[in-house]
Amino acid sequence: MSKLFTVRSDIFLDCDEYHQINDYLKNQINPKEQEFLTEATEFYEKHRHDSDDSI
Amino acid sequence: MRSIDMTQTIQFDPNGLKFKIFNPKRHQLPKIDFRQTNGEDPLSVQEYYENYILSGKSDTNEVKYVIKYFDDWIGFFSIDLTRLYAEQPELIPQCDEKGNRDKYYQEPTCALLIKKIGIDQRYRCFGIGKYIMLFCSGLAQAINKDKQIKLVLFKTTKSLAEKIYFPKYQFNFTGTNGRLVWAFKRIY
Repeated sequence: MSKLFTVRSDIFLDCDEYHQINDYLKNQINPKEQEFLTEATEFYEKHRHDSDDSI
Repeated sequence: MRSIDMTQTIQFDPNGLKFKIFNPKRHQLPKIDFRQTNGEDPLSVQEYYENYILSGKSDTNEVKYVIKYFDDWIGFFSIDLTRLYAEQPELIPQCDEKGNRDKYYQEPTCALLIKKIGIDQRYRCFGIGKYIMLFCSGLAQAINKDKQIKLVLFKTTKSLAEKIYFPKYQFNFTGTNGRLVWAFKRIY
């Protein structure tokens, strides 16, 4: 997994976009986001083993 | 073989979804229509599919997943880890890792970038986009042992961001004036 996922690219955002994203990251995570991430973890764990080479 | 003439009246079973890392030697996918229903392809999804998946070539750096619903190939997405910078770093005062203030230095924000998402026209409106977002967000958390990845993000149309990704899945999006926007959500 770690070999597959290494940082390979850079994206240069315009300043407004960059600020919007960084301002968002400064905010506390809200309950809906928390709920989504919990669901995401469960969904990924259930499906991660699909990701082999089988047809 | 499951019928592909699905309608929205048929209940979609997310347990039928399978996400496979694309292997051109093993996975031969059919021609699939990924364009918008009006025939447009503003995010070049069809072009990407035909050049890098349908052709069996895999000469891009990003990781490509292909999606099955029971026996049918219904979509794909490609992902990469990326660093986000501002185009004009002098406008954003930053400190480097040693604490020295240097107006030209930027600490990049690391993100899981979903480069392309394609869902077969016939399988739209079943919420498959949500399952792709769940998979990618779960994956980002699973590989984020050192907590460097802060976001999942992707480029989409402003229309889709407004109608689907924000209201249904709480993906924020950049407020640019163009047709395309960045949609993003934090992970931790």
